[in-house]
Amino acid sequence: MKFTLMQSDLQKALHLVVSVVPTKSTLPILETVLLDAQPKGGLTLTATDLDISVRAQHGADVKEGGRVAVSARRFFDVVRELPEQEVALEGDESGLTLSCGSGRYRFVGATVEDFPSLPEIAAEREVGLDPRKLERLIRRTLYAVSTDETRPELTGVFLEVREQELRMVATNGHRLARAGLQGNFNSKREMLLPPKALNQLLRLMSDFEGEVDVSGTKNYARFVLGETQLYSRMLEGPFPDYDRVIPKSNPLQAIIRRNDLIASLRRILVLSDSQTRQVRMVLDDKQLRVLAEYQGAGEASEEIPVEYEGEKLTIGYNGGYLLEMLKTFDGERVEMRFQSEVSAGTFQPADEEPEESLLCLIMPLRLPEAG
Amino acid sequence: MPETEAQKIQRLPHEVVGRIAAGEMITRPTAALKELLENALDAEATRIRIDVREALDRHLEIQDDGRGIPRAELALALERYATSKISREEDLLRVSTLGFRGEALASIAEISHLTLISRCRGSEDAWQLRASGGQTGALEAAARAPGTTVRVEELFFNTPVRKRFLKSPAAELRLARATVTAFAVAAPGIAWAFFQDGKPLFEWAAAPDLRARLIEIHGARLVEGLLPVEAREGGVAVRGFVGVPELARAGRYHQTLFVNGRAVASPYLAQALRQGFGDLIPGHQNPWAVLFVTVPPDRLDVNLHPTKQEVRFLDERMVFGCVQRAVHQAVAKLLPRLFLGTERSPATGSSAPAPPRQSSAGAPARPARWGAIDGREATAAFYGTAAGSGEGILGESPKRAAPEDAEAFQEAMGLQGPLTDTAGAGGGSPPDLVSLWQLHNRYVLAQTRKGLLIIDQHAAHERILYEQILARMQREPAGGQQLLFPVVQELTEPESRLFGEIKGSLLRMGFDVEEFGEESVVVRGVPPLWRARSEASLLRDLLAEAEETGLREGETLEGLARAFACRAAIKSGTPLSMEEMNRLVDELFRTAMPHGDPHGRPTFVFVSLLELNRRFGRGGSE
Ligand SMILES: Nc1ncnc2c1ncn2[C@@H]1O[C@H](COP(=O)(O)OP(=O)(O)O)[C@@H](O)[C@H]1O
Ligand SMILES: [Mg+2]
Repeated sequence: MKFTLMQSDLQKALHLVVSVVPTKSTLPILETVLLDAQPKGGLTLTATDLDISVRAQHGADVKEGGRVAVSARRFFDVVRELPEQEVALEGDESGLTLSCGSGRYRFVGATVEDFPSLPEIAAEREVGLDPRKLERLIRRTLYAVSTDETRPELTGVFLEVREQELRMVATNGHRLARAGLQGNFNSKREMLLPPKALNQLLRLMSDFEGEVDVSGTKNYARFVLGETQLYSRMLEGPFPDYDRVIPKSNPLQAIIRRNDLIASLRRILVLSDSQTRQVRMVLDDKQLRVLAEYQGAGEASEEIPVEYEGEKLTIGYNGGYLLEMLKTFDGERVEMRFQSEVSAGTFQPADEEPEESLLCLIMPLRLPEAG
Repeated sequence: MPETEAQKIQRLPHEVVGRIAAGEMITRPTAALKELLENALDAEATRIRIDVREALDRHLEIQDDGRGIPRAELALALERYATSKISREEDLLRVSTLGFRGEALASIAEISHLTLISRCRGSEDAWQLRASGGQTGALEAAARAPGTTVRVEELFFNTPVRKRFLKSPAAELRLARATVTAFAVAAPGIAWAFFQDGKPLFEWAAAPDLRARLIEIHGARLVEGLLPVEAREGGVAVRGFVGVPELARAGRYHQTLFVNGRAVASPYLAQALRQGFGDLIPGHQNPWAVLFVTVPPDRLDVNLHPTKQEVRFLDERMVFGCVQRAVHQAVAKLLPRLFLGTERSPATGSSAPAPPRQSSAGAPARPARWGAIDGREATAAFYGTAAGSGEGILGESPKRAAPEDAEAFQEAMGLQGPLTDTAGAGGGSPPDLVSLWQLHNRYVLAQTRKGLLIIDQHAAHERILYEQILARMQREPAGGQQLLFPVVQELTEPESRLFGEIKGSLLRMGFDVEEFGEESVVVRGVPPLWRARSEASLLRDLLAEAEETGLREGETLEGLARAFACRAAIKSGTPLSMEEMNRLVDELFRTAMPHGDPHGRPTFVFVSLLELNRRFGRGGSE
């Protein structure tokens, strides 16, 4: 193989793929990046940790096609130190030589056939998404996943495409976040995505302007960002039937200023039990009282104005859950709805963009009798 | 201090005699030995010599340099219920001497050939009296230095049944040695010698303090591993030493417990001692200990059993708690030495601190010289004479000492002070551990100012959950985290039976659970504990574990909490985020016993820089 391109282009393409490379792997081939040069297709770089793979293309002046796999770390570390000028690459099975100015850098090659192949996914696009909106969907759900390895289906984010709506849902069994986006998707698909893949996706999207295409097979998901593709193995499902647990009508509605509640919680949580992080919320006429106590440390309470006219309600929550959730909300006001001190409270931003929706559920911490 | 001037020996009035716990007190030769040693101590001897010829029951002789018995009282000493130690009925309620019934010499004289030789301090001549099978002979002139000799020959010669059931001479001698050893521990200021057929079994010079005495007996190496205990709560004082957990053994042979100076067999105290060690000692073993418990004499009943080996505390629970906390403090305080590898405590620098040298009355113990030390005072220095500690309500709560222990401990490892108050704050500041690293998804490594802390993540989390869940069960019913997706779990028959039995405890833990049909339960809520895993199957796992370990009979909350912690704790092999590692370390050092998991295995190992330097051959320098 033999090709040339600008150092900055090579660096950019490498930058997209190298973060997938595991720092230490029992399979040495995974520590390499695969370079594939084709006279017509330009240069394609691939890196994988078996669960997640990233492939990036870039135009190059290819005189002779071929493939080579070299240490991703070393190759990238050399390339990014080179001056911004044309670099020439020449290689075969045994390795790759990079020439730039007076410099010659030779990288020993690994067996190309050992490099894992990527899943076959039909080329056609299924769903196209605005990356800014996709980012928001992820940011609003990813935090809510479970870390309990005994329930793998809860450790991922569920992505569901319906005719007119795309949803992402995550839950750890105590709280749930469901973010939606209206649109004419004319497709049906369900995928259970590991957080690692979504973090990669967020990274790849951070300076990407076009549209993100989402497609998949039974076991793999694919995100196409222009010349870059992200493949992810999906988690074992099934994801629980979340619709069933979303209360249809929580009668007690309260509206509160988001920043008021966030600021209060930040202070109150300091004096909440470090294990349970329990806070007690007392909703009464036009005011919400937030209280916490931590045995041996102290206690705290605050009153926040709220739009509420229902009966008095006392309900306990893990204050950490409330805070984490509120940080993902936009807009000034939050709508909270309750039914009783043992059933799910629902939370949503009161002022949403028209085609977007967000609904969060938090199950209460049951308060000791006196409540 | 009790009046040390000798009272006259008097016959006890009738009503007092009637209230004395009656019964056979000389059940075996060592019982006679014990009574005679008590007499020597009560007479303020400073050296005591024991001679055995052939066997204890053949020939036993005790010589002391105590105050002696006046010629006029010698005969009375051999009479039953004649004593110089108490005179009125009220005195029975605050006995401050070891003997008080005036029975021992008489009992022994009845079943042996006994020779009593005595010369009073300050008197020129010695007198002797012989008795045989209870018949007292005539007073004869004798010669000896001030003090008393009691020779007992052919014990049990006229009680053939008793004689037939004696243990072998060797077994009896073993017991005698243990008995004398216990006395020597209780009275380090006294010189002890034990001879058999003229050959010394041991000779211990007067020692300046308990620690020195323990070194004489057990050698310096063992004593290095002891943790000093010292605490006072109300009128109760506890002092002495406990051994590191490695010294624990099955049985109680390695435990010596004293109450107001009297060696006692008290399963109750032994239990308090055990609990002071928390879970550091495996179930079938008992800690090594020499403990002196002192309570006001009027709060103690020693008049329970003829051998006086059993005692009853009027404030039982308080004494129990005091002993337990005192031991706990000792164990927690010397953690660095215990668990942090081979270093000596970096905190204290040198070897274990010497035990207190002040008597409760504030008189410093004098250095030891043969015969120059006042036995009573030296003894008082260790078990605080009854009267001395009786008055003072020196109510220093040991609870208040706990934070200091934690500090001393963290200081020893070079953990920073504020470590403990960072967690819990929403998005709070990071703890002060310099850096954390997870090794093989199993150990968390933390740099501390003085070295390296290696924490076993599973064991650490187990300790955290254990204490949390136990606290929840012991308090009022606490709430649980309600679940979005309630879980139905099928139980086996024994599991569902167990479920019925421990349902109350489960609810207090925070489970929200109900029977669901015949052999299932539905779990709607779980204890809201940080990072508890496998919550869907937690209840079943817990029941299975409890079933397996036969909790049913034990019924202890501890057992249940252990089972819970074991199932819910983060497993080895689970990757942790930086935040999670921080939180784990933080919560661990917030627990009462951060050093061990509920099964008694260590939660962390500390490698000091000194140790590392040594390994790299860098000597003591940087
Ligand atoms: N070794 C001794 N030195 C001085 N006095 C002694 C000694 N042994 C016994 N006595 C005196 O004899 C009395 C009777 O002793 P004993 O029968 O053991 O009864 P108790 O010790 O209960 O008083 C004691 O009260 C004490 O006055
Ligand atoms: Mg006596």
